[in-house]
Amino acid sequence: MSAYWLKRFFSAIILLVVITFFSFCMMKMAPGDPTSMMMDPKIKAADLIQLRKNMGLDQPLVFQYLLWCKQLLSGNFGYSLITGQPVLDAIQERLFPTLLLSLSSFVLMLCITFPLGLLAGSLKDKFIDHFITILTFIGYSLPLFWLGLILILLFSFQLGWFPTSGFMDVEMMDASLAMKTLNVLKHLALPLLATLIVSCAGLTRYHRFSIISILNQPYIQAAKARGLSFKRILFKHAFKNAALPFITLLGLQLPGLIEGSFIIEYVFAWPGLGQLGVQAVFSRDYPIIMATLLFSAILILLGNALADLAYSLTDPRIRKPE
Amino acid sequence: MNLKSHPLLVFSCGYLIIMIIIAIFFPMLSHQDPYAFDPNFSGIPLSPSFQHPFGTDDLGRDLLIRMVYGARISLSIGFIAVGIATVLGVLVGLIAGFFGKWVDAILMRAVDCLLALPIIFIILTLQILLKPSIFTVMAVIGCTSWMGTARLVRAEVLSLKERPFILAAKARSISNFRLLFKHILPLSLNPVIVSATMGIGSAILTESAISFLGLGVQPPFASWGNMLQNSLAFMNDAPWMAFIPGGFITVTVLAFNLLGDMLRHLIQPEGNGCP
Repeated sequence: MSAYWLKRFFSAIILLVVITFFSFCMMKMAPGDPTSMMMDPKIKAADLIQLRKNMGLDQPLVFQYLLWCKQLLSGNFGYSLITGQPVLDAIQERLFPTLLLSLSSFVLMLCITFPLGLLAGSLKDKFIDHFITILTFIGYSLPLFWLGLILILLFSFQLGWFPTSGFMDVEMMDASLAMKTLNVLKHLALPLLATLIVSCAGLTRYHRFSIISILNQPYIQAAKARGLSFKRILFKHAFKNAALPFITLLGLQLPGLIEGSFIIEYVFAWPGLGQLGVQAVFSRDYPIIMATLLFSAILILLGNALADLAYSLTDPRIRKPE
Repeated sequence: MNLKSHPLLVFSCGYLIIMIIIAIFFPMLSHQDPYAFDPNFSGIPLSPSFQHPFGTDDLGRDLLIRMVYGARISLSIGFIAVGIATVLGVLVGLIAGFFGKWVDAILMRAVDCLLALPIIFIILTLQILLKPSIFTVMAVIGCTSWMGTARLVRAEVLSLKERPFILAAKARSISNFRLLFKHILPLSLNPVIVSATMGIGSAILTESAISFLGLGVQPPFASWGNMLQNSLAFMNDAPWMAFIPGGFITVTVLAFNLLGDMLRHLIQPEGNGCP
């Protein structure tokens, strides 16, 4: 068991090294280097060369990469080209809103999708199944950013229920914790709704498939032959087995959630990692872009590992005999 | 097959065929310039009327005409990007599945790497490194969406390669190249057709997202995505500028997804239960 996880850990590390190396090369393709930001006319050309030498910019690419890795490991992600803020600080202050948005949509997704998929799958080809299927198809085909715009138009401009964008109103800075929370939740509502509509659609569909295939299994046929009620078969016999692939499916949704966060955080000006990344792309702030890539990759790999862990904990068939 | 029992298939096929015909032929017949605008125009978008069924944008350009030209660009980006992705995916899948061992290991690790990255962010980054244009959008979307196809083809090849007819072909000392492209490739294409059809839909979605962020198709060319970007400043006063392109994106993507789903049912009727 532990050998498996050790192997997995190392392959994740290798994956991260490859990812960072290629994104490092990609960034090096971009014009300019950190010294071109220090375009002070008073600096002499000779000093500039010395400066480049000090920063290791005259070294071969692989060496520069190793140098960069060494700094990464000591917690130095470099500085933003635009604000001059340390990259790690910028990322850290963005991490909480992103996690808040993605974890809450993750939990709600689970609560919504599981019953919907169960309903559609167990009532295959009935009206309710067709209805849910059409809804999932539409949700799956909606452009996420457009959905966000429509929600803003409807709920903010027309109805005035929720704020259009942001994380917390400025005047709430001194309010009590409860008021602050309420304010943040109000801001959270629309981006959460948009994310949920799109991500629930795909997941419901896959879950429906797995329910249908489980209900076709021989042991369910046997239970039917014993004359058990449909309710009992569904909730007692199929339920647990349906939960297992669901965990894997949830894990597979994680990259989608992180991808979606880039768009939705931009549309709603939600101050998370995704918005930071998109802004960095616009301002060509390469250190921030690299760090965003690295952190997203870590989050995705971590999510996949967690899904596998949950799977191996819940499914006795996967657990290897000690 | 009874068409009446598949209303959704009729809808999606009909819609797509009409859309493609309009996108191809309308610009050939029409003499209106979609990029011309009146410099003296008031700057206020006109709402839909008989003269302009979809209304106009802030430069007085007719939205119906722009939608047609946008359909040309958005659909061709969808088709070409998926073409690139399918060729890449099939090649990688064939090679990985057929040669196995370290070739397989390296290629599949590459797939894992790409799948662990937020693709939309990679596309945005590539777009600022290259110069955003219609062609880079096609190439970049194509080169970042082949992983699913590669995995599907690899799985097919792995199972095909153990079949007796391949052994028979090998016994006739047929070359690897012939074996791969004449005997294995045609049989491994079924799942590819389905994933390519759905891929067109998601390529159109990706294109619209990056054009919306201003890093995709550049003005004056109209794509459905950058028409939405245009609409941002007029959300409240001219909602049709946002509703129309967004609605067409949704329906078009929906049609491709429905078509892909139907094709799956037709190609693998027994595989009803698996995604």
